[in-house]
Amino acid sequence: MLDAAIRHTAGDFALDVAFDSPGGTLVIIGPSGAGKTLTLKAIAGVLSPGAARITLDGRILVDTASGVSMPSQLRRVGYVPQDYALFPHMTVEGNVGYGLRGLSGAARHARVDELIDLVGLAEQRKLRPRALSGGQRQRVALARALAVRPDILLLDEPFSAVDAPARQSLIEDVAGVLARTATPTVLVTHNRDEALRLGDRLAVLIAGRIRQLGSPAEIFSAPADEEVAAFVGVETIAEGRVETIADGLASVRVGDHTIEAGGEVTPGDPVLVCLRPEDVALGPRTEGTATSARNRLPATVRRIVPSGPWLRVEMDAGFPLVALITKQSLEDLALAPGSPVLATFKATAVHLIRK
Amino acid sequence: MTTRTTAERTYSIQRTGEVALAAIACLIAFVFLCLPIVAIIEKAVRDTSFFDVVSSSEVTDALRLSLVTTSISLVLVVVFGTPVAYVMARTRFPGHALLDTLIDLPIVLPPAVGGLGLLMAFGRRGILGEPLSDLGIEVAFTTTAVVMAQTFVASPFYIRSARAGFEASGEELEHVARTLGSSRTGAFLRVAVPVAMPSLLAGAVMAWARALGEFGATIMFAGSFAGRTQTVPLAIYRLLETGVEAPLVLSTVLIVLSFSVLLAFRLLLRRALLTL
Amino acid sequence: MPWRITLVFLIGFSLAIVAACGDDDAPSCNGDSFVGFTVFAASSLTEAFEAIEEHHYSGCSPARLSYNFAGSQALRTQLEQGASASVFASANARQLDLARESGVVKGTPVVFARNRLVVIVPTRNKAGIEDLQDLANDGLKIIVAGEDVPAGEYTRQFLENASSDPAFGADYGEDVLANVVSEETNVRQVVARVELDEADAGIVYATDVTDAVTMIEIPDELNEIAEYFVAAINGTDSSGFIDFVLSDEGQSILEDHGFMRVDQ
Repeated sequence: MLDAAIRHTAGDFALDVAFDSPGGTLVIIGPSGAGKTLTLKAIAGVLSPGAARITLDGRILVDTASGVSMPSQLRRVGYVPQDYALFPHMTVEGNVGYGLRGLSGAARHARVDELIDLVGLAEQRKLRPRALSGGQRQRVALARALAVRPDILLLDEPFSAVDAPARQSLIEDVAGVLARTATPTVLVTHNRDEALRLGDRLAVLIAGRIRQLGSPAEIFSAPADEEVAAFVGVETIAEGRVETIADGLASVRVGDHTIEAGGEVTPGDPVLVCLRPEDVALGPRTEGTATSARNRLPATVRRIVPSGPWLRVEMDAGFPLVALITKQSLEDLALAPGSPVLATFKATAVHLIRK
Repeated sequence: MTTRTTAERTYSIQRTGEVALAAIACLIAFVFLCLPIVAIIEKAVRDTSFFDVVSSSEVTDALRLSLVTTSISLVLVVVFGTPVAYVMARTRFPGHALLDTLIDLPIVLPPAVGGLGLLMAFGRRGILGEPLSDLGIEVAFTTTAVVMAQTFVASPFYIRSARAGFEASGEELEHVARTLGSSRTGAFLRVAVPVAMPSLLAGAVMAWARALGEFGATIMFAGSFAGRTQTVPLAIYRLLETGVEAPLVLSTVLIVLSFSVLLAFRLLLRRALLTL
Repeated sequence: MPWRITLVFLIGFSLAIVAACGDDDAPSCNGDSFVGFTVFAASSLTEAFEAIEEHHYSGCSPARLSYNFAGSQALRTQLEQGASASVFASANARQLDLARESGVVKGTPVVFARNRLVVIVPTRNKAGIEDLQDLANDGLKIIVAGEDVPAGEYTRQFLENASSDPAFGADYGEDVLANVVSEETNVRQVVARVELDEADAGIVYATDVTDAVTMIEIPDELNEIAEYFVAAINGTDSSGFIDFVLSDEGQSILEDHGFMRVDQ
């Protein structure tokens, strides 16, 4: 259990955050310059915050009020900075074993072997960081941080230094490692896909303040304010389970409905069904409306919120569903809260994220 | 058969012209830089009884003194300069820029100014020298003074290079090392120093070379006495009073020594960088 | 409007001529033949020769005469390495002889001044040096000229002379030399160090003594009298510089600066 309240000013920038993480992975998501890295550094103890109280599993890491600041080396935090900061003068083994000096030779070797196997770098173990790819470096950094069995793992933009093609599989690797070691984690990112894939809870950090803290579905379907909405993008996010796969299309059970969607999943997978509101079309609930869309869901309008030139229509289809329509459509359809509508969208518009 | 257009031909002429100009400039610079060195060696080999002079006590005394004093100076520069470079690289405080400039000052100051300064500070009428002198400690005109003069003029070369090395490696490495159980000192010794090692070595070599060539501050503060304060550069200057033979030989020894050290360092550094 | 420019030039030109006429009126600028004339002189001659320039050539603009002051050996080495000069004034005969041997000096050397050694001590005189015997006391810091330069040679000669005098004792020279902490190539540096009180005593030419130090005379019978020689580099001195130095006026200037005259 991490409990953090941090206030810190650096020049014009003021950070003022308070959040907790009961376990699992907390993703702090926000645009660059929001104070994400500062937050991590304050927890890691490599930055002295102006005023803070941070506790980890009941241990006080920092309490400026009582003048307590535990040295970094005693905090039991695993810190993976954005550029990984691998020790260039050491091999993969040397890096992974850096924090294990307290162990005996044999125990140390065993632990290094264990971690190297965990991240799958057995072949690279004698290489120096220079000779590794971005993804390999990231895994070394992860193994090095996990080797000391930290009480919490702090990952700063772990995928930003990796090429896009390699990123997806790396995200899966990291998800697997985190699941296997069951280490509580705080991960900061500006990327929504990473947040959705890895986060059990999300904290949206904008301009030094936490704007919203909650489950990914809560935050993406019901952003707390305009700025959060503008940053995360409004989306329908519903939890479901893959039932069958046919012709490359997955049938996903979401509540009472079955949604057709593209995506590389296997039957039985729990998934998040993501749908951008501009991809959702609304029509009257009459039979025989000509459309090529695979998915046709009856829904009830809950709320209509102006959003720039558009209107955001929040509906209930057994799960929260959002659509963006023009003022003209609103008038044509004569929509108001409580109106029944038919929401339609293509299978290809659905984005599945495996959980 | 191909016909080249006028434009192509013009480009080609232009290119040839540029290459020729660059070649001429390089040649002039090269001759200018190398000729004095070659001239000294050539004269020394042709016009002097090289080995007789090299084995004369004046020359061996000066060489021994130079090697001993520059070694001590180098140790002092590294021991005191490394923490200074590290602190300057890692911290910002009011007056940082001022202090930084002050550290660099001996590089641009005429060495004689450095020597005068040392005399005014540590000479027996100096700010610190006078109380020391009352205690019976006098450093001016001793081998200690030679080491002090060399350390004074050489340390900025080391500190600059070391500081750049620490700055380039960044503090994130040390942050990580600390989360992995190292104390600040542990992170400094196990991570910061080894990572900055090429810069530290480069700085040390430059500082040593500067100390070896040091003349102005030494003659000012330590005076010139064979075997005690007369290092190779001072011996060259003094022996000019007797003719050019001994100075030529000593200069040749100095050139060969400096050149070998610089070259060896370069090759070593290249290998170190390849393995990193 | 070119006529305006012409006018400006005319006015400027007239002013220049008036200024030039003023120059002509200066009584002692009589060294026209000294243009581009370089004198290589031992550094102990610095003040005296500068006074000669001022006295003899004051009002001349730009300076007609240039000096190169350095140790006599350094000057000789420079000449042998091809430095160009018109007159060489050396603090001893040897350097001039060597220069003549190597062929870079063709004129016949003439003695034009004499100099003697003195002991100097800082005004504070913390070491309490009252007479020459005190120089042999333990733990002093003495600075002398190196034995390769004339002043150093004379210094050692003086110490030898004193050592054979029973009033000093046979070990006198050795004891004094044991106190030497630095050997300078130039007498001026010895004076500077004693002035700064960095040394307890120095042995220098009488001509180099400044107000900032206290002088202890060396008796003539123990002293070595340095003879200063001058010679024209190319055999003849077309400029008349040597003649002036030997003239009554020149000798008086030298005497004012601590030298002993040679014309009496």
